[in-house]
Parts: sequence; structure tokens; C-alpha cells
Amino acid sequence: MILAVLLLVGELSESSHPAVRASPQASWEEGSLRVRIPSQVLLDVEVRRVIQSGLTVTFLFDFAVPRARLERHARLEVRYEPWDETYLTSLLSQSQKREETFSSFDSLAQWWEALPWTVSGVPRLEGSSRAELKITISVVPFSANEERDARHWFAQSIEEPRDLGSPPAAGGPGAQSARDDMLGALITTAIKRRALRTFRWTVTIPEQERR
Amino acid sequence: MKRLVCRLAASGLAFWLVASAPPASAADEATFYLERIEVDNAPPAIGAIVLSQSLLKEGSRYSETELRDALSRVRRLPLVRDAEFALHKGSSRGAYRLSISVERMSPFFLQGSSNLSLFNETVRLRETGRSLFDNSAAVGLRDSVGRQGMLFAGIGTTGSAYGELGYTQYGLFGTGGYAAADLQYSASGNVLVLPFLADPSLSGWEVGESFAARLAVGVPIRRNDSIRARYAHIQADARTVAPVFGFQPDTPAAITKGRLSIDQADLDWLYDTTDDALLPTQGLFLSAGPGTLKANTPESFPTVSPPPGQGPGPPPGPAAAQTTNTAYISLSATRYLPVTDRQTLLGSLQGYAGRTRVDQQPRATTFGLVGTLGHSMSLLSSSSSRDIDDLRLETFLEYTYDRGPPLPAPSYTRFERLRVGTGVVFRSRWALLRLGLSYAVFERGMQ
Repeated sequence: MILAVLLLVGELSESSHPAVRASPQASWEEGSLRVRIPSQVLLDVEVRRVIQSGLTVTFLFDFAVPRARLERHARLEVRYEPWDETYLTSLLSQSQKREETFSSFDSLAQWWEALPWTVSGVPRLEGSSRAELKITISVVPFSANEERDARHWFAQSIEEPRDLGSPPAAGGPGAQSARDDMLGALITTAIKRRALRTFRWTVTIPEQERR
Repeated sequence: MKRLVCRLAASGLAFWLVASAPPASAADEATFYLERIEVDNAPPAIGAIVLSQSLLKEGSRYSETELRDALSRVRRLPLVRDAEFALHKGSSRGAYRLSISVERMSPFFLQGSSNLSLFNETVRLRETGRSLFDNSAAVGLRDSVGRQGMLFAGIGTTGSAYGELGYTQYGLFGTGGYAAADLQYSASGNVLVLPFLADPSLSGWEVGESFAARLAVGVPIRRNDSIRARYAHIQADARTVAPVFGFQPDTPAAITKGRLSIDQADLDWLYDTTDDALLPTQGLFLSAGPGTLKANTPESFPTVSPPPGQGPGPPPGPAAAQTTNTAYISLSATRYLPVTDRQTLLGSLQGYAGRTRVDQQPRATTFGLVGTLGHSMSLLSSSSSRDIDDLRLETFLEYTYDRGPPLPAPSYTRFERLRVGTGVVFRSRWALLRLGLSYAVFERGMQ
């Protein structure tokens, strides 16, 4: 009980980094809730310095809709390769893995800005008050090899997706949801290292158009 | 004996569970051939220490996991305030130059602590009562000496003044090993409570002049493993002795003649992935190994105040000098788990099992354990001044149990304590300050 109180007080006292003024944009596209994150996260002085170190930086994404008791997780690794002067990215979300290379920081930032994160499984929420989407991005130095081992332990049966062209889905509804939720929890909790920066937003979920 | 075996087996199982971790899968992990390693922002002597303690070698290939562990080792150095790694192109494709940027701690340091301890019964230490206010402060200087040497000197007070001198030689045997020596001397009085195995009577010894010498040698085995040998000798001129608790309020302290001393040596295997030597917020620390503890306590002469109206009675017999010898094996595991970017949970279990002989009595089996749960929260926001490294609120719950050799009163066979506490820690480039409050829910010796 005492520990829970301490954690709750600590959680309530934490605030988002003040430097990032732009907010994520949430919209309904093709029946799914999609979120775009501002590139100012990448442009943060500390974040950019660590990216330029040539060692992997891990971005942990948490999307939560408290009113629907829904949580989704995803992870993006970025590494600057000094010899090629390129930025290597590896994106892991529920049952999806995608790798891309960018020739400049500007193109990386543009890709980041345009990347739509799909928060799957958000139900239609009735009521007079709008539902909120809480977004947290933790920036962790170095790679997340522990996550790979966690996947090996618990999720050997999860197959790699064949279609890598769709937007990254931070969540998987349906029959696999229990297993995917476990993987999602493992994505974030398996990385037990202190974050360099944490960014938090609360975004109002727009009303979904009725068809 | 059966219970001891079961307890040891349980401890070993817990130790194995904590220590066992899946091997890091290197199949997909990037590796880097380090053609050259340079330390920036540091004089050559400090740079040499950082390089040797990183355990990185030019001309070797390392994974990111290995570089991360090396960075933790550098950050744990007492002379390093912060450090960062960065990769740059080497002389040919596929080769890299690693630059280590180091921010040094100030050569001048200040340490201070104030702790209010509350007890649920009357105790006798420096004063008699249900609370004890402990204050200590020290100032000192540290600087590099020669090739990879660090010298420090300081003066302080814990109620009595003391002086301290220490030296650490890094890069021992051309590896990341080190040897450290420390001497401490105090000419004035203090009250010492010895470890339970050293003094099962759980007494407070008022001492005059005291002296302590400590030696340590550490040799790395692999990137996170090392072997450490330590020896400590403490001696003090004892003046009086009185039980800490369970005493008659009007009974004065017994007068002692002679010197008390403790000699302790241990040889431990260490596994350390923590990110900070003083205030870790993540990682795992394990240790295991044998040790010995020898303690000598002097003869004491109890004095009894006569009842009012009566003359002095015959004095009670003296309590004989005592020597305890213990050979033990100790295990410890401490896990720091960052649950958010500002909060860390801590779980720790330390235990020992051994054989103790008191004077010429037959050896008896002894064991003990300390279990701790803790929470630490940074009070700094991301926009806080860079001049402050840490401002943390720490809270802990600690349980201690010791089982010593069977001894008659006034000695105890068992000791048990449950303590809770909280405090604030401040750290900057030149200071480490603590303000704490603790409460002993129970603290008792038992036969």
C-alpha cells in the first residue's frame, strides 16, 4: 500500500518535457484511429545529441485510452551510421517489424512527422464528454536487446507479418489480443533502463464519423 | 542444521533466480571495431584511469551491449560526474574511433548527513532516550597522482573529529584492476555498536582514540564480473560499555580496560551492472564469497549504584574479555528497477552463514540476513539547473535477522530488527548531503 502511494505520488508529480510545444494530431482514417507525432521530439537537443553519437537510441511509445481501458505499445530504434552518414531505423509494433534508412536528419524528421501510428481497437465511445488519448514517448539510450530475448521466451509462436506496407499498428485486436498485449507490455517493461527524456501529451480523440 | 540447509538452499535459489538472465542475443546487434579510443575533457592521468577502468581495448570489436556496460563502469568511478560515448569514422571503412567525454567531479568535496532515529523503546547510545540525532560532516580533497593514482585526504566529525587519508591505484597489473588503501584516525570519543557476530551483547562501547585501516584489491574477470579482496582492521581504546536496550534505567555504564578490535577479511565475486556507485537507479549488483571476522572486546567492570540510604555494596564480578572468531560465506543481490524516468524501486537480499567460536567454546553455526525494499524518486524536473546532479527522496523498509552462537545472558543468541525510513539526498559536483528519518518498529535481542 505504501509503495503504491509512493509510485502514485511520483507519477502525478512527473510532467512532460517543456520544450516540445507542438501536439500530436489524432484522426480517424479508414475506420482506425491514427496519430502523428511532432518531429520536435527528434529535434530536442539531448535527443539529437544522443542520436548523433552513433549508438542506438530507442523510442518507446505508449498509447492509452483510459476511458476504454486500452493500452498499446510500440518501439522505434534509430542509429546514425557515421561511415554512410545515414540514419537506420527499426520499427517494432504489435506483430509488425519495419526497417528503413534515411540519408539525412531532415528526411528522418520528415518521415517521423508523416508516420501515422495506428491505435488499434479503440471502440466508439458514447457520451457527452470526449475521450482522451494519452501519449508517452520515452527516449532510452542504447538498443533494446532485452526485448528480443523476451520475445524469444514468450512469443515464439508470433509470426513475422508478411505485409510490411501498412502503417505501424500499435495494437492487435481479435483472437491474438491477449498475446499481443503481453508482447506490448514486454516491449516497454522489458527495457528496464532509465529514460533520457520522456514526452507526454493528452489529446482529445475526435468524434468518429457515423456511416 | 536441517533448517540451515533449507535456508541456504532457498537463498541459493533466490540468488540464482536473480542472477540468471537470458544471454544477450548478439545475432542482430550491431558491433563496432574500435580502432582508437580517446578520452576527451580530461587530463592525461584521469584519461588513463577512465580508459583502463572501461576495460575497452583499441583494436577490438564490441557490441552495443558491451559498450553500454563499459559506459556504466566509467560512470561508477568516483572521480567521474558524467560520461558519454560517441562513435566517429576511423581511418578505414568499418573501423571506428570511440570518444569518451568525461565530466569530472570537483577535487574538493563536502559530505554531510543528519539522521533522526526513532525507537519504540528506550535505548542507550550517546544519550539515553527514544530518539537519536546523528550528525556527521567531512571535507576533503582528491586528485590524481602519477600514472592512474588517486589520492584523497579529509577531515570530519561524527560527534568526534577524525582525519582520513586514502590512495587508489588504478590500472593494476596492466588491466582494469585497482588497489585501494584507507587510514582513519580519531583522537576523541565516540560510541560504537559492533556487528552482532562481533559482540552478541549488543552494547554501546564508548571509546577514546580509534584507528581504522582498510585495504582492497579488485581484478576484473569479464565485462561485468570481478574478484575483490578486502581487509579491514579497526581498533579503539574502550572506556565504558553499556547495553543498548533491555537495561535498568539507573544502572551506570560499566568501566572497561583495554582495547577493542575487529579484523575482517573477505574474498568476493562481484557482478555489477548498476549505473552509479553512490545513487544507482538501474542495474543489478551481486556478490558471493567467503570471509572471516575476528573481534576482541576487553574486560569490563560493572558498577551498581547502591539503593538510597545504604552504603556501597560489594561490586559485581567483572565481565571477562571476549574473542569471537567467525568463518562465513556471504551472498547478496540488489536489483534497481527504474519504473519511470524519475522513480526506481530497489529490492535487496543479503545473507551469510558461518561457524563462530567464542573464546574456547565449541564452534556454533551462525547465520543472518537483511532484506530491503526501497523506493527512490528524483525531485528534479528536466528544466532544473545542471549544477545539481541529484535531489532524491528515498524510502526504505529493512528487516534484519541474526542468529549467533548460544551464549548466556547478558549476551543474546538472536537479533531481529524491522526499520522504516525516509530521507532526501542531494548531490552535486562537489557535495553529497543526506537528511534522514528512521523508525525502528522493533529491535530486540533474544535468547
